[in-house]
Amino acid sequence: MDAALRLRVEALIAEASAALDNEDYQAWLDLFHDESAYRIVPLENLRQGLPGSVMLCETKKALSDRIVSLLRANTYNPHSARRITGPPRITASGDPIEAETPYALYQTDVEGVSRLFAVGCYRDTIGSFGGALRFVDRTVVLDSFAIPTLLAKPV
Amino acid sequence: MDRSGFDRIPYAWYRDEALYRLEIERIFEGETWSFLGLEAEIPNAGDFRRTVIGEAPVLFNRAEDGRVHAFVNRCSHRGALIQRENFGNVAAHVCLYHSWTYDLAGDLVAIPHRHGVGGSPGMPDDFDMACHGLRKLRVDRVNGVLFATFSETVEPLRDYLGPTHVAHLERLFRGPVRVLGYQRQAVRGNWKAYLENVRDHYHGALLHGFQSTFGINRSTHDCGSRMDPKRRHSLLFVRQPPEEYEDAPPPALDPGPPLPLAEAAEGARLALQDPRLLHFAREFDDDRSTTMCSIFPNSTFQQIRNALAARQIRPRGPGAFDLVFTIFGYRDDSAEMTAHRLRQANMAGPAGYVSLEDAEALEACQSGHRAGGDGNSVVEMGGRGPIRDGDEKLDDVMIRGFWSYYCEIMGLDPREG
Repeated sequence: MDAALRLRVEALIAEASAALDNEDYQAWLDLFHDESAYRIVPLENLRQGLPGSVMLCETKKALSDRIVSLLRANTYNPHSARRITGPPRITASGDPIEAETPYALYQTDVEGVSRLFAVGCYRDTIGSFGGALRFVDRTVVLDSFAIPTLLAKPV
Repeated sequence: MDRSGFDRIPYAWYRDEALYRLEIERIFEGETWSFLGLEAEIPNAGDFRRTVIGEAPVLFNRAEDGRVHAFVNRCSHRGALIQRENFGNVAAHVCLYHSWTYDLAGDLVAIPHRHGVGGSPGMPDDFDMACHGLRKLRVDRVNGVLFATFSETVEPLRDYLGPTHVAHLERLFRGPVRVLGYQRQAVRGNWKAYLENVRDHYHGALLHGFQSTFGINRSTHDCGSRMDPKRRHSLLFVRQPPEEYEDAPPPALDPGPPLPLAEAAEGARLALQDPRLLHFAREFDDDRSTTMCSIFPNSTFQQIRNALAARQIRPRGPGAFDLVFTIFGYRDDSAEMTAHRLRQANMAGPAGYVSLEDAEALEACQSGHRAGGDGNSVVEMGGRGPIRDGDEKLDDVMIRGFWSYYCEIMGLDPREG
């Protein structure tokens, strides 16, 4: 694929990480196409061919519901989050684009102690809509399927 | 014994190392039946799965004759874990270290060089293979749910569970099930606090903001608490009025963009934009839409509308435990029903809309208990008197039931701290 398109894919993934790290959820949702899905899947389920997730939003409306609940209803461990992503591996460069990106997600608690929360990869299906790249499907593979404490925010 | 009181629990009981060791011995390896797994996890001969009972690594598998066996996952030679994969299919279990080999009943069947090789004498002539099998557990079941025990003397499983809880498990496992996936959670809390949590009618609407925020918690709903005669198991349920359930999974949702966040998150009462999450397709012969059935000491069976799961508790010292959710449906579910169960799995588990706060609350308790010194928890909602079944939303009587049996099996009296 051409270098310009790769840069645009990398930019989309970096924007998604930054939006979550900064808790700018509207900006994060804006990176998803109106008809898109988001799920967080434990690696052990993938390995066994089992469909279960820990978070499943089949529609962008369901994804918005998750965020509204996070902002208004749920109580969770106070922390800040930071994602470190590796370079995406583009596995299909047509329309849609498919990319796989390794991540490590750290949480830092109110005492300033950081710990690794999860490591895994994003499996993204990305479409081009009116010149802008948007996620059509984002599957977060959770290598760390023993979740420390709880998972409230999207990974 | 006197089943009243048990309304004050010393904080020390949630953090004490010596007490924890005694719990492993008297409870998890004592006169109890522990949840092992589901028959559906090992459908074929040779299928095995690893699990944990108390702190013991346990292996269960299906033998050629279809019988299920369970044993401690530890080679009788040097004590190495005999299976290091979580699941698989084998003809026999072979230890990685010296290739000691066990059949699917856990009996030792082969030792390399047992009779010597190249002039070395091998094992002594009087070495008895029959005395060196894997440590076997007794296994029994209710429908597709497997339980195991280390004890040779504990009462039969159905007597241990009692009629109410047998009937409930038969309801929940009304037909062959299909495992849909696993979820795991590592909680820095005491395992007993989790057993309290699933017996606690009082915390639901207060801790779990999802219900009140999205207007699904109505105090008018009928609910209740049911225990066994020894008060060690619990069953908590909520009924759904007939006008609020359907007989089929929900229809497809109109696609399209969600409202802007600022708008969607505004107001005192919010509405889900994808309301299929809350759809209840009635599937049992009663109108219970939520049931939480906890079997002492290591399991809870969950029905949150159409989200079904078995939860196994694996203690890791007094200050930590792992929770393993096995999400399931039925083998004869339609594709739409399976999709609906997977959707509703969002309700519970480590990321559950109405459960994710539990781990945070338990960790906050553990941090408080660890602070040292005296102190005790207060369990009085619903009174201090006889520990009885009830039909009250706001009570924690089943927590006192749990402690009454805990004290009986441990030989403790909370009044002596």
